[in-house]
Amino acid sequence: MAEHASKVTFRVQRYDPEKDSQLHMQEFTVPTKRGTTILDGLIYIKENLDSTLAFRTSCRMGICGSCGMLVNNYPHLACHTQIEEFHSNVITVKPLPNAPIIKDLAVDLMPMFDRHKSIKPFIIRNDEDEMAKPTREYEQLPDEVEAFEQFSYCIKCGICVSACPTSASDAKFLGPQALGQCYRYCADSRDAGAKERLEIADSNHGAWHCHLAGACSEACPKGVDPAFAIQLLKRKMAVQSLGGGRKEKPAEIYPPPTETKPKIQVPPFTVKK
Amino acid sequence: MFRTRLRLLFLLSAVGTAVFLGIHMAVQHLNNVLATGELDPTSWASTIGRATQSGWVVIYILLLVFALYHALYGLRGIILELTTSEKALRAVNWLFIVGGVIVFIWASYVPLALMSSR
Ligand code: FES
Repeated sequence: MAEHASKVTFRVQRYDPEKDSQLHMQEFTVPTKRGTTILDGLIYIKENLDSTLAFRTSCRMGICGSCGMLVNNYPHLACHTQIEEFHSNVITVKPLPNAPIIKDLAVDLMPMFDRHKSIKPFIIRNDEDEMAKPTREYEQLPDEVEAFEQFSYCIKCGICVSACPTSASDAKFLGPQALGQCYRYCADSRDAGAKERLEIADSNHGAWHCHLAGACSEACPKGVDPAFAIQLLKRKMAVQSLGGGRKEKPAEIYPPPTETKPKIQVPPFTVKK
Repeated sequence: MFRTRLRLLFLLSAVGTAVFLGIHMAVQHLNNVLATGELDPTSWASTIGRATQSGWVVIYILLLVFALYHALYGLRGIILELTTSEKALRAVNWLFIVGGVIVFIWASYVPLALMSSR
């Protein structure tokens, strides 16, 4: 460790379904220096103090969304959160709430992914041939990208769902992640599937069940602002239910077929298979 | 978009309740400011007197409709958060529909009966 190294106590929630009947806390002393993240601390524990500690991580740079956990009782990405931020010598680390625990800090995010899948998080088009075998890109202007860009930064870490008080009380609630992504695709000018998606968000446990606590937006480590997306989604649903909504066709492929150059021929294989 | 329409009605009923309850409260308690000429608008006689005028009957019945819908829909939302059982929710829906209709008939009967006995 560097010269300015100091020590911090990590209080980590442990639970092994094969051994433990209850959750319990375990303390570890971890050396830190300037810039040490919560994830660095956990990796130190795993490598030097207790190799049985379970947590999820992959990119270590706030991209993959694997390392969401409760640090000092607030959800954070462990790799994106420095120990210094807490101005404390004791750091409490627990798994994300509103998700079943698999082991220690690793939670099961499958229910969230299932809800995400249920809102059809992909571009829906009527030109099925083009969708199956794309020939070109769809035309989209910068303004049209701006309409959904912020919401497309979602890394599906589950932090918004863990912060949401409605998700805590209603296990069937679609949740800020899925509803935010529902708006993201409905707002995409290339998409023609808003109608079917809005029907899904119109369920008993859908968009209208959001109480606008705003906890999701506050906790989101990527600045996605799911609460705002849900408000925009509600507006879209209200307009649609009154017979309004987007009338123009989804974006066409660009450039149009007649202006494209012939494709470059792929040379034949020089090595026999 | 059935649930969205129900939600929009919920918002509309909030506005309706605020307007008609506002009229009711103003007439009851701002007698001096509005100079309605009534000595005591909160007395039994004044209340019965208003209930025999068709304009007031319409206002009271609309207030009843809006307040009843707003209250029952809001309560349903709270119950929905406490249970995820679709069966229980269906039972609550029917209970509120039937209960709401009974309360509406019961509560609107009084001013209607008074008005027709005028
Ligand atoms: S490890 Fe990928 S977001 Fe933290």
